[in-house]
Amino acid sequence: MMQQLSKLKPFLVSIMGLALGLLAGSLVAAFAGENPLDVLMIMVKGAFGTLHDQGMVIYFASILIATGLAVAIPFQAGVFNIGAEGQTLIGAMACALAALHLPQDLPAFVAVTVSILAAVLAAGVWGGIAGAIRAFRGGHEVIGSIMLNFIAAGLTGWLVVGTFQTSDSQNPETAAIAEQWRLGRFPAFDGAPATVAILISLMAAVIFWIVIEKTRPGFRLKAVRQSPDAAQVAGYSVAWTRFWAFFAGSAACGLAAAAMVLGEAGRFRMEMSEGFGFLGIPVALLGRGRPVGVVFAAFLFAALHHGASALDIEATKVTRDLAQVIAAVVVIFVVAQARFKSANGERR
Amino acid sequence: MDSLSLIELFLSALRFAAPLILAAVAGLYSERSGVIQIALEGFMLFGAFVGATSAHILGDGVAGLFMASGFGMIVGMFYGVLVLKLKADQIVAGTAINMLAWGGIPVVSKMLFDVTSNTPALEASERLPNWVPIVVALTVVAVTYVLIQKTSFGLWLTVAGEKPEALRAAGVSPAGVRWIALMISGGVAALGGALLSISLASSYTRNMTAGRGFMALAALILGKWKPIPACIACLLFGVCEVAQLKLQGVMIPGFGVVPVQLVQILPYAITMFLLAGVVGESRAPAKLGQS
Amino acid sequence: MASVLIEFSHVTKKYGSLLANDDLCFSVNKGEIHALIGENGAGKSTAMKLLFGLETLTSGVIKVNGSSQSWMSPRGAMASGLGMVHQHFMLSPVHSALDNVILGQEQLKGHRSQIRLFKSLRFIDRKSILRELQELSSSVGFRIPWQEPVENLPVGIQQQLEIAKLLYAGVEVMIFDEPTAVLSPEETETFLKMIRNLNQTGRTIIIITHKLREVKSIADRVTVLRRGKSVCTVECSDVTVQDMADLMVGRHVHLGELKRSEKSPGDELLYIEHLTVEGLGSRPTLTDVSLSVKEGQVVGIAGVEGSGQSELFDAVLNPGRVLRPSGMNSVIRVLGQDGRSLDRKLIRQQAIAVVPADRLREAVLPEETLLENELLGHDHEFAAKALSGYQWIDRKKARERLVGELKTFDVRPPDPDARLGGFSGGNQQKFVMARELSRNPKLILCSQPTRGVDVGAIEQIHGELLNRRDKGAGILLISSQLDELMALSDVIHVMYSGKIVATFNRQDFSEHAIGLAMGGGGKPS
Repeated sequence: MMQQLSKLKPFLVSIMGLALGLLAGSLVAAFAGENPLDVLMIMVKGAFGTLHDQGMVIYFASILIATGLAVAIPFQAGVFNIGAEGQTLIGAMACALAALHLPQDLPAFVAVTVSILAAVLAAGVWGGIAGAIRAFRGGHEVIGSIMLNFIAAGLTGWLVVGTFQTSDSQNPETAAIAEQWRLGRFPAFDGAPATVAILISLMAAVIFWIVIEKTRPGFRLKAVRQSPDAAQVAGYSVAWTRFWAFFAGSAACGLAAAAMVLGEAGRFRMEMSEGFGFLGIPVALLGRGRPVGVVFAAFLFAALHHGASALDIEATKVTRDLAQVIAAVVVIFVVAQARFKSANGERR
Repeated sequence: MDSLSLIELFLSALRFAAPLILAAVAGLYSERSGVIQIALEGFMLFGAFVGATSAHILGDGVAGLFMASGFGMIVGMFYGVLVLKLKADQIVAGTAINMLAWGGIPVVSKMLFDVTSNTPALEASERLPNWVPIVVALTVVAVTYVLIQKTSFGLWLTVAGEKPEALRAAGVSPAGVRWIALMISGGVAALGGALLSISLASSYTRNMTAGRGFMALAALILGKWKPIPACIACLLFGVCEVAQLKLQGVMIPGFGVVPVQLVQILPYAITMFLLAGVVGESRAPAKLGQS
Repeated sequence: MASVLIEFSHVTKKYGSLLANDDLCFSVNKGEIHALIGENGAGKSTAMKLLFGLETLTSGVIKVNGSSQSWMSPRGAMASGLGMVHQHFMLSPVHSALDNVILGQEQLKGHRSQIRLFKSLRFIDRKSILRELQELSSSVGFRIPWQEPVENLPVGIQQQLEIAKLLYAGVEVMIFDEPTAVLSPEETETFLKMIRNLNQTGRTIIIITHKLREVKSIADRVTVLRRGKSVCTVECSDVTVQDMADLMVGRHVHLGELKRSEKSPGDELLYIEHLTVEGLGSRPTLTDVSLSVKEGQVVGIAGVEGSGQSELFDAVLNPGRVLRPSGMNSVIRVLGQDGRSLDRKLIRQQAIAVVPADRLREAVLPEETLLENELLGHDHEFAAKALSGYQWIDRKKARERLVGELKTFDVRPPDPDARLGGFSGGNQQKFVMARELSRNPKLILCSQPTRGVDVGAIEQIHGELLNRRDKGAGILLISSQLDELMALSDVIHVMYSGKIVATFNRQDFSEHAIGLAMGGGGKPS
């Protein structure tokens, strides 16, 4: 009985965190002079009201699963990636450039696969810089990955304003990718960009699960997180394990990028990651860093995110930023309850 | 370049570096006492917002500074509740504070001013003159230096981060010292943020700290957790910001106009460079992150 | 008639269901040297925590100078003239010796914490404190470089610094917790002399230790603790070392030699020649270390902690890394292979058992189950084939194997799904031994195998190691316990500041000579 309870505890903490987050959001809304119930209703209706809305939630979930994994995978090895924002941008740029520059006579399947791989690889390498600095030089990965966010924003901004800006539009964006090279949208959702990207993201979560539960690299991640010294004596390379975890996590952002570029926008737009990278943090924390948890949390935050966007139009006193507050409260609660252990304290 | 403009250049670099210097000193209090301080960015944002808002409402820039650092202390205490009382992971808890600032400020801003992205522009009389950031930053550095070198509290602070057991055996609670350190940390970092919005700019704008909290942390590490070297490291970023202003739109023969976005990358790229090159070698307080 | 200074009467301390102190009764007289002996977990340190107000009594009374103890912190104890030197020194390594003493003084300034905080902002008058300290230390013959950071001071000087802290605070009763654990035999001699001096100047001394010979040589009276209870207090002159050992354990203990067969060493398993490794940071530099371990041979490494033993251990674990930068003439050969081509991972895939010194930090994952810990360092043995090479783990196979190991090595409880951190120190170590030894290793690298382990388990672990030797394994044994080394080893090398300064064959073992060498003294050849 006790054992069952203690297994349930993480789940309960997550639920409580979410409830507390919603409560805090309601309080803020009430404070701002809105009726919290109305705000809640607007958000629920905004998230699920129409088939199109539901499709949007699926679209956002496909992004958030990926950025959630970007945080959760490195955390398995005790390193903390808060650079998903920049990794997604770089991945998106790579994806768009690949799709725009591949020979036009390639079969669609090949072109799409190559574009996605380009995104994954670019995102992985980008985040890998911070991972390598941490793993091999001891420089803090949190500082590193956040600096890379700013650099990525500047770099892609420069590229899209200068070299690759389309002549058809005033906006800072690239030319459109050929229609047949985009991800197929599910027809059921009224044109919403719910695409096969969700299946790809789910597959990534499944692979993550298999790796940590069943494989030797997964075991090494765990050993490195819990005790770098013991991992060292056991013959595992702490530095390389951390690096690859960081690389793999960052690479997951490539999937988020592909969902945006090939699934929704059809091109690269300046600053198109819009905070999804940062949302990966609450997703990973609420999901307790576990694959199944991340998937559920991603859907929740996707609904929250899409629902909150309705506030911009339908509420006068609060905006979509309310979702951010809810997310922050969730993080604070979960973090205060759960004994998350990152590899802090032993950096030199 | 003649010497007068060199001095001018130095002073303006110092002015730009001031918020960063304060943030670095704020990080110093926390980290020397043994608590990792990733939340500087959040403290600064809160400070910038509360400072500009109070200065606007009260019509006085100095009042803005006081309100900001007072609020910063409260946020610092809240961080203390998370990491000292509830023993939350310091890096994740710090990130949570940052998220609260990123998400919470626009909501409050919307309530107060009906816009999410900025506070109303301050009148010239509500802003603080140019010399204020320099004086405040240098004063705080000097006081910190004296505090750490000369007083018992300074000794407590540094022992709390190196060998808390020794402090406890001497009858002083390391946790108590850390609480105070975090309070100071929040207050000082928020002061830095407030200087940003009240003196360097004339209002709060969304995410105006632009990663300065993290750069300050890098500068602190580069300065080996000591006030004066950290201050000098921050000055490097100040120079960088001045250079950024001067470089924008400049024609470089054979390259063309220097693009804004690339110039803006400069401080971040330097931070990365330092992180990879020098920072890994420096020695952190022994118990950093283990409180 | 001596007057009673400290009196424990019927003191009981419970942690949950665990009785750490159970109806403890004993007293310490003014002006005596009183030894408190007992095994790990006998309740010695709990008793001292209670005395210092770090923990609160469950029931009973502790009286100091006739009135019952009322302080809630070491600060109050200090104010009443009680001071303690902990086993792990309470010194901040990066701060100067002077600052460490000043820190110890803070407790005397005011009582309410608010007032102390306010006062703590006053400047420290380092000059006058330094002058006082110099006077004080020259009067007792200490030579402490006051401006030097503590990490640069030898252990013996650090201990003097701890004592100076107490003297400066005017402490009358000094309590030492395992004071000689980190000292060389020579430093121990100096320390014991110092204790006698302090005692002669009227200070009461309490020594907590398990080194019975030292007790015999210095103490006036001895109190024996076992399983939280005080067994008895005796005059030191009335008992022998063997008596004390028996009282401590509660049955007759075999202090003599372990059974070992005569065996001539066989093939070479580990060969090290001219090994020189630059020390990083504060770690010592290994200089020109040469040794070999052959089949059926136990090679002991003696030395005061920090003399390069752990660097040697690390070098054997990862020879490729240390050999590459260190010139041409360093050689490490492991099981006949050139160390240059061996890294950590390859070493662990050989028939080599690794038992590191700091069990909880280096040998296990305390938060995980025994099953997961079985995989640590051995996951390659349970690799199953999958799409791309052998990257899958066959946990079923690991479980079967583990169940057998737990039975053979008598790990209790033998539950593969129990969390390792919940086991006692002895059972944790037995598990590590089980994991490492059950694979019939040819070479066993083993450091401090019985640290923090109770007497029963020590006997078992020693027996198991000798058994392996008799079956032909070679063992490199690093230990700070000289009696352990002398009981098990065929050869003992003594290390001092990164060098091997003396080598003894079994027939020449002498505690005195080895002890001398450990302190950097003469080298008999």
